[in-house]
Amino acid sequence: MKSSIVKEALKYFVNPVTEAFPAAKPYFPKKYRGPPVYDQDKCMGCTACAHVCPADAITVIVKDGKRALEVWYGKCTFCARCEESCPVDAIHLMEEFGIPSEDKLVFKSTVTHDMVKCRLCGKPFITIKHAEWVKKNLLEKMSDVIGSEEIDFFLTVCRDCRHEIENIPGFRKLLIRVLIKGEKVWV
Amino acid sequence: MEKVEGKICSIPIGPYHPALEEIAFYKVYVEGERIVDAFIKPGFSHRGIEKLAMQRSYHRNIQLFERVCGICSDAHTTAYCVAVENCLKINVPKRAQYIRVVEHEANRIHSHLLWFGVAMHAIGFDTLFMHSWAIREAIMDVVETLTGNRVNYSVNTIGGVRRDITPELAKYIEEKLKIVEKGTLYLIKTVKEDETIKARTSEVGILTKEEARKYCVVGPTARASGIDEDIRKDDPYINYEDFEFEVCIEDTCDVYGRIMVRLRETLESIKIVRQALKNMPEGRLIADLPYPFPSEDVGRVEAPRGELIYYVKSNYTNIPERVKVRTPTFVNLPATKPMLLGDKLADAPQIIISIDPCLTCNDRLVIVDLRSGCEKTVFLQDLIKGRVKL
Amino acid sequence: MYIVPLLTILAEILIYPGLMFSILFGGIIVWMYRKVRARLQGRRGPPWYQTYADIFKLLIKETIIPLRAWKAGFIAAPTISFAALFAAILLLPFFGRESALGFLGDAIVLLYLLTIPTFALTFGGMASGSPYGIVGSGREASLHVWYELPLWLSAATVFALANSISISGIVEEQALHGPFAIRLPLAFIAFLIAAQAKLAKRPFDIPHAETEIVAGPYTEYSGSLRALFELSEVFKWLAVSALATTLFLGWPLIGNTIVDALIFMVKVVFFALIFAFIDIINPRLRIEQAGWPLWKIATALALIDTIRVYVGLVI
Repeated sequence: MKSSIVKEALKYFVNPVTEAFPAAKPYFPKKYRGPPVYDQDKCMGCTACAHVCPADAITVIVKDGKRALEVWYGKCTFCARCEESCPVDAIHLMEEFGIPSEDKLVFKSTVTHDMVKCRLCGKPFITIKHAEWVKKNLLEKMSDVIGSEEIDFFLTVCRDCRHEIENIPGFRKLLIRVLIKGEKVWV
Repeated sequence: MEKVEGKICSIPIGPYHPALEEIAFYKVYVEGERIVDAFIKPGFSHRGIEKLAMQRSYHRNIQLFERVCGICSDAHTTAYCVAVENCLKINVPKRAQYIRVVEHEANRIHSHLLWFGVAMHAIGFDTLFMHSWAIREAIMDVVETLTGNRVNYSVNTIGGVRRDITPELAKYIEEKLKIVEKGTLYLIKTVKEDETIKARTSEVGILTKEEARKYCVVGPTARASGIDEDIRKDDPYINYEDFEFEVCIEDTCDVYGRIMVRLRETLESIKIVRQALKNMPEGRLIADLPYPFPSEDVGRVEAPRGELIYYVKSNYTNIPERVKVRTPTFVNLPATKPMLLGDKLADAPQIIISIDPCLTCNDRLVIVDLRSGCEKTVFLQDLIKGRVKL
Repeated sequence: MYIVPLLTILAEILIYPGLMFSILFGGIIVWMYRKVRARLQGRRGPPWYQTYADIFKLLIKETIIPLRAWKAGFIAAPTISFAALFAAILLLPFFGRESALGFLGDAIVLLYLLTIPTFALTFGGMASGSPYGIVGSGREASLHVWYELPLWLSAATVFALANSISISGIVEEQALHGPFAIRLPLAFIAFLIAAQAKLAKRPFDIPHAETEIVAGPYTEYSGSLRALFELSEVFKWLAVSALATTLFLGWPLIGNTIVDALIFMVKVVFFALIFAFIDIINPRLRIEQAGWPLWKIATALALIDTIRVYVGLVI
């Protein structure tokens, strides 16, 4: 009557199912969802990850002409949408769980970039690396439609100032010739 | 505790009770050990999810609806994605649908094995509880390797899935399915042979077929009362018409029948996963998404507990105008009252667990005054501001 | 002149087999029960000091007495239970063939002492003033009625066959002619079933059913009073296993006291493991279903053996 339970119980007696954690390391499959980590060299600060994050765990802070992106694991849902939407593969989910700590502000990953200042109003609006990436892609794919000087113009004037200029056609051509006389606008 | 008509006294089961996984309040009136009346007060898990869904875009809502329930979280995301795809007329590629079927059935297997352990714990059989959860670890390994997480899968997306099943992964899943199948057969054998389990669960918590129809119960609770209803066969979603499986029905209408329905359904789910892995077509994983337009539609899904309905209404923006959720336990809960009457107090927890309640509730404090015999409900605000003295 | 016997009695009460030894050895027995249970379920189980750690933790927590409780009864219940079991342990033959405080007729006193904890628990549950306590006490009282009869009947067959009502007499008889487990097998089985109900282990753990009535009579106890109940539980394991050993497995006995004490301890552990094994492979019965194995089967088996002894059909 109880023979099947007794047999199974004796099998488990010899081989318990639970692991002797933390003496034994747990099993992590490939593409396990650990906390996300930024790569400082690859990231260009385009804030695509911050737009897509469902929990608003990635915050964008602009200070002193630098843009900082910070992901805090306290809010992160480990959904990997940031990893999917990054155009340059700069953020990856680690394949094991992070190390515990007593201070909750330790759990973050930050990346900082220098920004370009608008020529007309002086506000920083795009990071240098992002601007270079846009210029490179446009020159590769649309070099017969737009020239390098026009790209330089668009990438040094912020959106609000550009809206003001675009509304006056004659004035725009004048400004292009006045503002950009072959100067390098960023290093 | 009140004394009503001499010998009857009331025993509270909940909100805090070791038998219930999630909180609901049952007040059972007993005479000796026999239950004569029951008063059910389900709280409502008011986290404001439907209001939040009206302020976030379609893609962000997927992570939100995963967290409505922890055990059947994949059923909620599948229902939401199916509702949005029906609403905006999106055609999902076949390979994505088959991967969704694999996940959906893996979710069902894990939920039924979890439930079986809890039901055995309610009758005091801890050994079988531990054994069934040990078998469940095999399917959790499958889920973790497939999606990266054990609970909130976040693989479904609108128009398809985000992860693929490679041939090595298919082989790994097949190995683990063998372990689960052997384990489930052992559980079925034990339940059929053991006389103490039969003594505790037969003829207990009876819900006849007419009463089941009157209370409109859904899911395995209805199937154990002889009603032939399964959304996977009646209204197929995510390409279920391509798979061959049978709907498990039992006639006994008691707790024993519900145990057997769920265990047999686990075996059917294993069959479905094997078919899906064998016949997986090639193709893309995510469809091209259109621009949203005003429309409304419904997504119906067979969650492990019954029929789950999502209603989505869209407009020209990428934020849905209205999302409404109806969970299966909301419908099954009032049916516990006819099940409880006439049975003993010792069986009350296992009857409540046999409908597989999956609701997390906030409840209110009830003060029972023995002298005057009146009771009043107290709100948390009043307790905090000191207007009520206990 | 009276110093040496006084000191011996004091050492027996406090060290062996008294307070220190019973708490230590009983803790080890409970640890073995929990470890075997965990291993058969696929887990790993607690370390050896778990029982002591639990009791220590309870002692440093706050004791809360509910407003509606009957204070005197609430505090008296665990104390009486602990004291009765402690006295019972002093009567059991931990020295092999004699006990710390043996006298003529102490077997009957021992069985009486072992019924006191049940009464204490019943009125402790009712004194706590919560509905769970009342239902639990009711179940405890019903179960008590059912298991006492087969327990006393099988003990009576042993007394009849050994022709004495003192512990040392029973043990001597078994040392000469063989254990009563073989000479009175049906009474042995009846005793095992009744002892399982006395220990309140599955399938008879109905009074303190965890998933149905939270903790039955123990619900409102916390802090040092709960610690006393836990100690009573430890002593109950020790006392019932030792009682089973004394009544049914008194053989073999070699002359040396230390070796006899060690053999006795091994036999106690053996019985504890039997009770643990029956506990692991069974669910819990309902209170009216528990009447069938206890009131019908166990009593019938014990009665058959009583008739056999009366008629003289034993070896």
